[in-house]
Amino acid sequence: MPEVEHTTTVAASMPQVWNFVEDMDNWAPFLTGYQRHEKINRDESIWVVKGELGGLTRTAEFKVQVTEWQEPSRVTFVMQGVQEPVTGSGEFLATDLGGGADDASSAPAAAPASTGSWLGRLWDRLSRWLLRRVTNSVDVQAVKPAVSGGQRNTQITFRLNVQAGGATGPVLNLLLGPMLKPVAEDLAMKIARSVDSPG
Amino acid sequence: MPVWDEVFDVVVMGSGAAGVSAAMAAQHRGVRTLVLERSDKLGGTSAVSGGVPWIPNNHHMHEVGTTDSREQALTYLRSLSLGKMDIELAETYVDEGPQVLRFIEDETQLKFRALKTPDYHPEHPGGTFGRSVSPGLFPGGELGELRAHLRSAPCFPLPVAMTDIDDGTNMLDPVVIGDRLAKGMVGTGMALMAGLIKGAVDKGVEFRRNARGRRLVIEDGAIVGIEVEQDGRMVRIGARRAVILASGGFEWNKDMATDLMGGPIEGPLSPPFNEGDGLIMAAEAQASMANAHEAWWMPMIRIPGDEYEGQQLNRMVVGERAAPGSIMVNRAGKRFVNEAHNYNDVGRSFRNFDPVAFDYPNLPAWIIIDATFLDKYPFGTRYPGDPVPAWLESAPTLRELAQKIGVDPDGLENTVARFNDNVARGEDPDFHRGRSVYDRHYGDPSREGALQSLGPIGQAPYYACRVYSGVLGTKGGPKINAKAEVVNVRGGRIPGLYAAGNVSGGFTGMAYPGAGATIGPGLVFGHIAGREAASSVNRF
Ligand SMILES: Cc1cc2nc3c(=O)[nH]c(=O)nc-3n(C[C@H](O)[C@H](O)[C@H](O)COP(=O)(O)OP(=O)(O)OC[C@H]3O[C@@H](n4cnc5c(N)ncnc54)[C@H](O)[C@@H]3O)c2cc1C
Repeated sequence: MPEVEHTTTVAASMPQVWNFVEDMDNWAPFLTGYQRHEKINRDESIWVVKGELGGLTRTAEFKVQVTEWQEPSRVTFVMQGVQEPVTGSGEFLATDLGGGADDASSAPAAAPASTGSWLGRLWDRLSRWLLRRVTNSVDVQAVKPAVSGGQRNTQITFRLNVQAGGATGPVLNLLLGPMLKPVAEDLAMKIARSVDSPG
Repeated sequence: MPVWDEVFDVVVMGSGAAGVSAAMAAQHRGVRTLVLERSDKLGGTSAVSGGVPWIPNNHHMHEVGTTDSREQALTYLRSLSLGKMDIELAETYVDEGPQVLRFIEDETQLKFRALKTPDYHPEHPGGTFGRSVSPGLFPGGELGELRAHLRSAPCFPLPVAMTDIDDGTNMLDPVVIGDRLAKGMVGTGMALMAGLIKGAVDKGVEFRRNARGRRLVIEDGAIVGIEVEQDGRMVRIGARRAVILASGGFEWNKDMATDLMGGPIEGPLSPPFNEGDGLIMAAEAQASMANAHEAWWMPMIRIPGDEYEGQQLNRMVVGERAAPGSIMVNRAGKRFVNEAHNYNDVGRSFRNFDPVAFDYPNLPAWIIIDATFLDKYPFGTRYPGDPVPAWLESAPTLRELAQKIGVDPDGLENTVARFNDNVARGEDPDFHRGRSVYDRHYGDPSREGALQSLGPIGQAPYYACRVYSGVLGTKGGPKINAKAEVVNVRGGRIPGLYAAGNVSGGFTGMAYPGAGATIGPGLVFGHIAGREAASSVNRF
């Protein structure tokens, strides 16, 4: 199953991070390809996202259902394509790092479930290939959020897995996996930038 | 002589199959050649295509157990002329095609294989199979930094080749596809164009993107250069020997399509850059126009939300028309054509005219299928087992379906009842669907005879999808002679001007002789244009 995990550190306290993340209106536009979303209630929402594959841009609608709100550290959700046979789930985790850390890092940790297996290795090669295609560069540098000394830091982690089903699912998943990584990194970076409080 | 910003020996306008074939043939003869491409991607419609050229009497045909000859190929082509084919050019095409294919194989890394695909009128005299050839996969990385500028094929997003069909390769096998992706392979038209572009670059051809040819520079009736819009400014490029027009058709130019086409085009399937620039420029040079009302017709569907280059993507419908259990109906709920036949000639039937109603009765048209069809066969991007998408209209009865889509309900019910009766007898006396080898080729190989393409429509729910009158590209434009020189309105040649591919007056007239019959002539007349341009003399 195409899965990505991305961790970054922000110079803000957990409640500050939570305040921001709790309301999806704050960060929804940061999602790559975001078109619009509609909140049905606190747990349910419909998302319209535009994605590109091989030059073809497809606009797809997803139903997202929050399955757990654990203030101030964890949100989990499941998602389902309205028209497309695509399902997924995700998690947002916040961990208090204490104050004044200056070793803040932004560590992309793309971790397909089966790393080490042939599929894992394939995944790795594909990731590099697709990243070069997407970014048109040799390597992608994760952007480090600015962390100012002397204040509380929070580590935030996104975990997202998306799985295409149906007859085309297995090959689509090959393409989806590597595409998730830049999406997760971008989202984390933008949230980090927004939440980072001035020293 | 005008003042030039730059000078080349040969300037080619357009980076599709015709243009790159021309450039390669010219540079091969040692002349400095430039290819201009108006978009930021190289490859044109040719890159988004299946990548298949149709080359009669090619040296691969024996691989699929068939043979051909000059006479057999010409007999076939003549049978599709109806007085509209340029037979002299058809002869040139048949004579030169095989050696152009060999040249491409010798001078690039491309290797072709003959396909088992039948000609598009295989039962006509001279008709056969194996004239359509397909390139294999191509390692895209060979293009180096140009890889990022190769046009992507939205309808063929995975690295597959048409030969995969003949080989029975499971194109949805993640191991097969994953391995190809990891190796950076490209397939179909991207493979064809990557191979051609790599071959051209290796010879020293220069490619310039975002460079739109705007006007020919004409001196004493001869073409000596071209004005090019590049990065927002006009540059004048001198062409010591020739300018070769290879800028595709005019299908994206609404005014030209309205004025020149003898009927409605509801949408092109090509990338949205073929706006007829080459035709306009040739007209300024007094070119004679040939076959201007013709196009490579293709029934198409639209999936809401699909976009390519900022435009709604139009998708071809082939298997959906040929598999058992589908029919196509008009507003009256009536069938109007053998749905399974070749797309060019089926596409032509949308333009049938009712003189009394003064109307095109077959527009809009709909494909009608049932639940059994969806259980068994792909439809558009939807595969068996996937949820039924909203872009397929559905209803529990044919009557309700007809009402929903604005088709005459009695007409549809009667049509389906009659069709099903005939299918039960294994025939289609109305339109002879399933009789031709062609119809069966795109049908269900697990069934027998005409039933490979014929099946009943009887299992609710019923579904409908709007079908549009589309074109792969237009094929009318400046008239060329056997040397691919553009001919003027008085019948003489225009010195220094050549044309090839969809920008030029296609010799095939109304016909689409077989799979690859658009790229084939593009490659062959492109090659001739490049060769002839290179062997002319420097004028300055
Ligand atoms: C989905 C699909 C599948 C197809 N499959 C096949 C197939 O397998 N076999 C087959 O024979 N045919 C196929 N066709 C049709 C075929 O692709 C085209 O007919 C053919 O590629 C046209 O080639 P061309 O070189 O004439 O033009 P193009 O390939 O369209 O190239 C023309 C180029 O000129 C550029 N251009 C336009 N104006 C200017 C200007 N002013 N200055 C500079 N550049 C300009 C365009 O951007 C374009 O890149 C298919 C088409 C589609 C859409």
